[in-house]
Amino acid sequence: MIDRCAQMIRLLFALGMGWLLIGMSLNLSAAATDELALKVQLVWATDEAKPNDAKLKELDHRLRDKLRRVFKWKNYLEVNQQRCSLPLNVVKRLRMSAKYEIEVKYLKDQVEVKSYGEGKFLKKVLQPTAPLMVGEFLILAGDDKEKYEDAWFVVISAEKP
Amino acid sequence: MNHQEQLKLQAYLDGELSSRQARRFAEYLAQEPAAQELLAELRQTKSVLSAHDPELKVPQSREFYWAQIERSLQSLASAAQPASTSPILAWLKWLAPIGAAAGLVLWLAPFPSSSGQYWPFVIENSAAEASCITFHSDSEGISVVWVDTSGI
Repeated sequence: MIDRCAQMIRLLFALGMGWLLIGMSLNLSAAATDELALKVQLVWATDEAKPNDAKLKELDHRLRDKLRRVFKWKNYLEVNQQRCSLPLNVVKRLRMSAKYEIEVKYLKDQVEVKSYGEGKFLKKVLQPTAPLMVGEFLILAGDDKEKYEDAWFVVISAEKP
Repeated sequence: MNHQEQLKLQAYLDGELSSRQARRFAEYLAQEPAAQELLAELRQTKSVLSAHDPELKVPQSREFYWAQIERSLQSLASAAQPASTSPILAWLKWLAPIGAAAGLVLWLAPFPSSSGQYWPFVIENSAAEASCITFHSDSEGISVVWVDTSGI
């Protein structure tokens, strides 16, 4: 009985050390990259049916379902998509619409995002890099001033290099 | 048969004659039925006696007897003793549960950033915006920052 317990403990120890090494390697890999690939999507959230506009695209179903579970709107349509590769400490400005821009800057452990509406500074957000590296999203959201019931999202995600 | 011949017969039976003497005596036996009969009788007697020889045992002294018992006890004691382990292995056995617990904690805990925060935080707002809403959904893996804008 005691021998079996000892064997189980040794097995758990080996598993624990294995996970520790995996975790360390993930952390190291996240911290070690000097460049970050980002995908930025401007998404329109509405309960209306999709209008006949070739510029509006359906979102990836996984992201769409995720937004549906969190927010109240039925439809989420991609208005614009931008991709960029961010070297360390380099600022890139992305125009998402005629009135809205964002600046992104990769700080290794964090991503700095500044939003501008009609050229005016709105907000500066710091997002830790690690969640993005494991597939999470940062979403800057706001009310649509032109359509009261609708909203817009800027969905920022990391892409594999 | 005279006494000399009987002795020779006994020697022949016991294999004490030389090969030449044994050959000559065998020739003599072939011609003497009385000698053959005596030889057969002696052979039978010899076989019976050898089958029932008593087993001779070397007498054991008291010291020898107890020394045997002591030796068997010592061998039993050394067999029951566990194999000696190095001190390093003994320490590893104690470290195993600690390592397992540490591994499990690290596996279950999220990987924090160096800033100590896992979710986004707003560090600067425009003058027009008095407040902001930030929330994070663990299950969906999204962080939301609500931005008040003049329009997109």
